[in-house]
Formats: sequence, C-alpha cells, structure tokens
Amino acid sequence: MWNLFCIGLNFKTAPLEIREKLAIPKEDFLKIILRLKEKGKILGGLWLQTCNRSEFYYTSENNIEEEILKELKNLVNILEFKENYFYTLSDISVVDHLFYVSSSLDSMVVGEPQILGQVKDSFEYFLKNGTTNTLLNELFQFAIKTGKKVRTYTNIGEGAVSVPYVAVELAKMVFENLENLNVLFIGAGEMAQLSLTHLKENGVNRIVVLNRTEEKAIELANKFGGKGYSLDYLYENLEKSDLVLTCTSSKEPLIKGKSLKEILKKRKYKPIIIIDMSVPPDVEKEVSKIEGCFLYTIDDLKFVAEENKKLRESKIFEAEKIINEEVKKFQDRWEILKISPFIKEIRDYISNLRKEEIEKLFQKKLNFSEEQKKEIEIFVDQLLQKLLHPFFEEIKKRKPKKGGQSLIKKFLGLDKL
Amino acid sequence: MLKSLFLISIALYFIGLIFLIIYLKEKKYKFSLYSEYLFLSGLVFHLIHCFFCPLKNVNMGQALSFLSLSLLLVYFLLRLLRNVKVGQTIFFFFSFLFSILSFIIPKSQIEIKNFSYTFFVAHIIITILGLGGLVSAIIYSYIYYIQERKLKEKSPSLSDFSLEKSNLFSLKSLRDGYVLYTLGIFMGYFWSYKSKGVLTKFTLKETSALISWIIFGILYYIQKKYGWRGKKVLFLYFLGLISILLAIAGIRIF
Repeated sequence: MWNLFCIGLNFKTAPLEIREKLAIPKEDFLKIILRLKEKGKILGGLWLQTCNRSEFYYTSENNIEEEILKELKNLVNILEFKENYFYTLSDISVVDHLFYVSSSLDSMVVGEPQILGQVKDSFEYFLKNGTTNTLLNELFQFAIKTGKKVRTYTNIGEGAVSVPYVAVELAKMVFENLENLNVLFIGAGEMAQLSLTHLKENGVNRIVVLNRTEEKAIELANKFGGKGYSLDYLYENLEKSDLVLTCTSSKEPLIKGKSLKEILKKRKYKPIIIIDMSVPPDVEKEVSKIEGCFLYTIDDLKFVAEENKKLRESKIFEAEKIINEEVKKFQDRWEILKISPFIKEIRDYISNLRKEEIEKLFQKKLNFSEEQKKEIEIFVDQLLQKLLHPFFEEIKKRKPKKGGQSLIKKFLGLDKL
Repeated sequence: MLKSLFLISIALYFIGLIFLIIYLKEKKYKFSLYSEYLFLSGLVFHLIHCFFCPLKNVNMGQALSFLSLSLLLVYFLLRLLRNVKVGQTIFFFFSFLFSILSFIIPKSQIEIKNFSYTFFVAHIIITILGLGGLVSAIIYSYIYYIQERKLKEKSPSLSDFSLEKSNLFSLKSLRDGYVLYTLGIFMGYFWSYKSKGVLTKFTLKETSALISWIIFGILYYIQKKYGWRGKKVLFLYFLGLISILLAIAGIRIF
C-alpha cells in the first residue's frame, strides 16, 4: 500500500531532443495523474519538470512503469521511444534520489539555485490539486528541507557555476570589455532575474529585456537600469546585442536561422553569443551553423558541469553526509507512516468506546447540566490522552510488524470486531 | 665574431624552444616564462648581429634572419607594451625555423653591383618589418580561427585573450604591416631604378611580392568593409603567406 516509485529521465540518460519532447507542462500531466488515480492505479502522484529532467513520483501498490510509459508514448509521439532513456526507482532509492535532486547534487551544474524552487513549485501545485498523498507530502517536505539544509551548511551554492556564470565566462572569451557589452534577455522569469544580477555584478551595463507581457519586461529591466520591450521588437534588438540569453516557455522557436543570418551580415559578422536555456528551445538549431554566431544550449554547458564537479568534491562530500542523515530521518518517519493506519484503527476504536460510554453515562444521569457534560468530556479526553500517549509513543518507537499488531489488537479486544 | 653572435642567439632560441615544449607538456607557467627570457636574450644577440651585418652581399639567408627578428620584435612589443601573451608557440617556432634556415644557407660572396646604400637599407628594413606585421596578422588570424572553432565545437578553453582581441590584433598588424610593406616595395623599386635603371624585371621575387601586396590589400579591404573574419579569410591569408614565401624564395641564394 505504501510503495514509493519514481520513473523519469534526465540529462544523463536522454539527449536534449528527447527531453524537449518530454518537457510536459504540469497542467497537462495533471490529467494523467487524475486518470490514474481514478482507475485506482496510484494513491498519489507528482510530476517534476525542470530544464534537465522529467520525473514522475507516485505511490502505488505495484510498479506501474509500463502503464506510465504507455501514457507518455501516447502524449508525446516520439518515434524513437527507447525505454532505456528512462530510469525507474523504488522505495528508499526514490528518497535518496529526490534528496540529491533538491540539494542540487544531481544537477548538470552542481549547486545551481533554481532546482529547489522548481521542486517546491511542483509540490505546491500538485498538493493544491489534491493529487499527492501523505507519503508524497512528507517526502517532498523532507526533500525541500534537506535542500535548504545542504545549501545553508555547505555553501554549495556560493559562487555557483550556474548558467549566468557560464554566460559571463563565454562573453569574456569572445569580447574584450563587458562594460560595453549589449545584453539581451528574452523572458522575464526567475532565470532572467538571476542571470541579470550576475551579469550586472560583472560590470554589464547595457541590458534589454524582452517579454510577451511588456509590463513585466519593463519592470524587470528597470531593476537593472535597462530597457524593456515586448517580444515584437525581437529582431530590432538582436541586431544590437552581443550576448543573448533566452528562457521562455514558448513552444515554437523565437529566433530563426534565416533572419539571424541577415542580422549577422548587418552586424558585419561581429560575434554574437546566444545561450538558450529553454526546453523546448527558443532558438533554431541551424543558428549554430551561422558564421559569427555561437549558440549554446543547456546541454552544451556540460563541460562546465564537469569542471565544476571536480572543484566541489569536498562540498559534495559534506552535502552527501547531510543527505544521508536526512534519508535516515525520513526512513524513521516512513516507518511511522507505515503503521499509521494501525494507530488510526486503535484511535478510532478508543474514540468509539469513549463515545459509547459517555452516552451511556449521560443517559443514566439525566440531570447533568450542559456545562457539567462538557467538563466530563474534557476530563475523559485528558485521562485518555495521558494513558494512551506513552502507549502510542512506544508503538511508534517499536514499529510492530503484522504479528505484533495483531497481538496488540487481541489485547485491546479489537480482533473481535 | 658576427657568426658567433648569431650562433649564440640560435642556441638560446633552441633552449627556449625546449622550455616551451616542457611548458606545453607540463602546463607549468614558469617554463613558459623561462622560454620567453631565453628568446628575449637570443633576440638581443640577434639584433646586434643584424646591426653589424654587411648588406652588400645580402641574400635569402639574411632575409630569413631579418624576418625571424621581425616576428620576435612584434611578439615582445605586444608582450611588454600591452601585456599580451598569445601565439607564443607559433611565433617562437617560426622565429627559430627562420633562424636555422638563415644559418644553413651560406652567405653570398658576391656583392651587389651599383649598390645604393640608402634605398637598399630602407628597402630591406621596411619590407622586413612590413613582412613581420603581415606574418603576425596571419598568426593572429589563425589564432582567431582556432578560438572560433573551439567555441563552435562547444569546447572553449579559458584564456585571457578574447576572440575580439585576436581580430583586432590581426587587423592592426595587417594595417601596419601593409603600410610598411607598401613602402618597402616602393623603396625596392627606387633602389632597382637607381642601381639597374629599371623599376622591375618581374622576377619570381618581384612578381610574388606584387601578388602578395594585392592579396593583403584585398584582405584589409574586405575585413574593414564587410567584417569578414575567421574561416572566411583564412584561405586568403594562406595565399598571402604562400606568395610571401615565394617572394623570399626569389631572393638570391648565392
């Protein structure tokens, strides 16, 4: 009943083209979860979609991997749908994996700050839509707590080699002076905020933000002393830009190869760096072939991730220690969750007994005032609480298995019910 | 005496080259610095040698020696004045190669007839300096191409020398080198006219020099006007280099 599973793919197992296709918005995946729940296949489910991973966490009696793969196949229509792109985890390995994810140890860029927010957003969304259950709620709350703890105690995010950092490094490789660099950011989300902060810290002054909603673009640009426009002015601004960062949820590419070719000609082939952080991409692949244009997708940042990993081994070791402690704590909590139906059964039984006995008492002595009745009820509750608290604590501590549980039931006379 | 000065400079270049190879293998910065010190010391001896070198019997060997000197001068000028350290391997390798070739080629015993010293010295010095600029432009353009390719292949290496800087140096070296080269060629015509009575005899050296002058002129124009760079201009630079080498090959050996 309380089995935990995770099926998914990430940048280690699947190429970008496949990840792009499986970048299913949580709103769309919600329908699948609701359908599976309705059929009784799962008890709860949650879809985690980030730039580099698509994962489905669920609790179920059995592993329904094949059914989920079938659902995904129907949804995304991939010709080369290879099962080996996916990994399936169960029980404690799910916990281990999720804690690594939320602590940013499983990210392409170790220590990147976005992942924790993405885990949190996803959890809140599915919690709000009622698709999670107690175990998933506990698991994700623990994962978020672990992620925060790792960041605080190890400083793994300090000076993080993140996408904005890579953008600055690339800009330094191409351009001499960052102060004169014209930066264009397409999109006005969290990533834009982070990237622009980092670029500003590195001396970038000329910033333009483009967004579908012009007000948002202006609002963000104002924060960094830049200019904001609507996406209609994309090509006009591209001509003047040296570094372009894009992170939108557009399903169609915004920057087309043909148009960019013309722009490069007008720029006299002055180099332009484009960093596409979107999945699906905002920039057509052909763009990378254009002379003077250097296109970097999220996958191309792997080289930084490798370097980064080497540099942070000591921090990773510390982080792993915290994760292991938290996994152990969660395991204990999980054991309690496993016996919680049993505890609930005893509580319900005692509560019914209490109700019956009080009713009997009140029927015998009819002259109790309402106030007296309330006082008697409070007294009984307090007495029961004092008597049962050590009993339940002991049960939680000992976590009795099926045999032990039936013995307790026998003592309490629950087995006769 | 002059020969021993040149021999010392070659020996210093050689040891410098060994340190450069160690640096490339070990990636320890100190070896790169040792290599620079040795080449710089070699350059001093080389300069003294060239200064006292008689020009009346100049031949291809000496021209190569001047070109080697000119390349090192460009490298160390940028290194000392602008703190730019790029293309060390290429600059040092070619300087050493030209010096060795210059040493191997025997000195001519035949003195040039009707030697007009002013124009000839001006022709030699200005042309060689111009060639140094042009060869440097080729080297920087090649560095730009390598950097561009690495960026395209998504495997850039961290360096304090940007793509923009490579292009700028390539263009500046081309501009300065071209001006000097043009002047040098004109001096050559004047000297030829004064000593032989004709402007040109369209020998291999003169024709190749003219072709290289046209190629580098076109190169500067298209780079300045249309912004062509990297792979697009590399072929033209290659043609320019070949014509320069042919022009040098056209200088008398004996």
